[in-house]
Amino acid sequence: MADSDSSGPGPAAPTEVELLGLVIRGDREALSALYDRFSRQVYSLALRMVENQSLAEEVTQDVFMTVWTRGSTYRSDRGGFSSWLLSVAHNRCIDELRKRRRRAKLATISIDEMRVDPSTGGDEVLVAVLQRLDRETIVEALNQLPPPQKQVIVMAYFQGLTQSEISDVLGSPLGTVKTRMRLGLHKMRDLMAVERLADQNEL
Amino acid sequence: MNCEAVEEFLPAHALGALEGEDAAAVEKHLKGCPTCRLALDGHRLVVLNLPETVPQIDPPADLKGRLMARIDALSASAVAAKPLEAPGVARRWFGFPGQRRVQVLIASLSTVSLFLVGWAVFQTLEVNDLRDDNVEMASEIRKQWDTLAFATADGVQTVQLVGTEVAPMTKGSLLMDLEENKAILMVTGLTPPPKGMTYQLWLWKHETTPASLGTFGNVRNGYVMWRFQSPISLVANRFWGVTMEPRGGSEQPTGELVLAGEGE
Repeated sequence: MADSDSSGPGPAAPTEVELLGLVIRGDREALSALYDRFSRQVYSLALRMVENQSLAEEVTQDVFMTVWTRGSTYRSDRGGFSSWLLSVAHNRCIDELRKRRRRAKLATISIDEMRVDPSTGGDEVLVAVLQRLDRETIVEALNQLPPPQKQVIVMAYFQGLTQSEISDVLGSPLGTVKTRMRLGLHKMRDLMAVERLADQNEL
Repeated sequence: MNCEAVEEFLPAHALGALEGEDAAAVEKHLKGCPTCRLALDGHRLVVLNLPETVPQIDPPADLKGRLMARIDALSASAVAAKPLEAPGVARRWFGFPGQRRVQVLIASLSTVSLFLVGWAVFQTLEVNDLRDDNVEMASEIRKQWDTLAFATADGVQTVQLVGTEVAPMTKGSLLMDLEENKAILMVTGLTPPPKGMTYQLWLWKHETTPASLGTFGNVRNGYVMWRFQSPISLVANRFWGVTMEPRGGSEQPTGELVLAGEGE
């Protein structure tokens, strides 16, 4: 992820942490700038998770309202700003999904529906190039997993399901779900680490 | 649960998919085990990157306008909340006379309003937990009114405090009634002090040694609202600072400066 990205449109472009500092002081324009930089990521994640356009819009608004009212709770020592922002969005979506699940019975999801699309889906070439390496690495790592392992990871993260809920939905034994999740995440971590190492060697 | 057993659970924990006894046992172990916390970070790095796998789609063009309208409405309502019966409340609480002078401190007022918006948000969360505890809620609301009244009253000076390198996201305002030697310190983004420690507010009248204005350790969700009667005159000060000190406070600062502000 492009955290602390200072290679923006010009040499004087403020970092997101500088913008956040201004937001905390009540600078509306700084919030507007943060929105321009990150709303696409937030909206895309929300849309993927709640699968409903108007709800995704609501989540996106709420996330930036959180930045406005509680931006000071961000801690730079616990990760980059965009990670924090996307965690806020993720938690907000999980709340929505749990609410929805209480209302309706969850349908089984097929592996086909979980295909990960590596395209950027837009024309922002510059942003795409800046993020390309990371994005490709993570997308590839996820796509290299055996489908059953990928499935449980996607269900846990994007649908906010616990291991026993996944076991219920898939009709697989709980032990199997646990093993798949563990092996899958281990493998992703190793694949990402190998990629990062390869990148460093190229430099 | 030992490290080996916990290691098995870490991927699921990082994904938020653990539940019940497993989750509790892992949490308990992590608190006392830096090695497993480090291993968890490795998995969290993967999880934090998962949003990258989502196809990127632009939000509708009008969404930003709707967001900014919400923010303007929120800011307007916070400023509008400063008002009418407030002076009476302020007199009762702080006992200072005088009329409101709204245009005074207009810059600092926006800071105060923002603080109160944040404060209100988390108070509401906490108060919701208390369910029907109306007494608690009424008391919190009254405190907010008092603070706004204080901020807009005659003769109240404001000093902005800025987080130092050790606390770059921390901000504060110190509102002082110079006649009465009463003050309110409001801080956002402050880490709660570790056990046995507290924060201490200092003021430098001259360049040399500071005087203590007292200690405060009640940090909730990063917020502090501390009202106090100053033991010394608040007139003609040059420099304010907050340090972390052992509980009970120190004679002179021993910890690093966390927040600092300068007088005019």
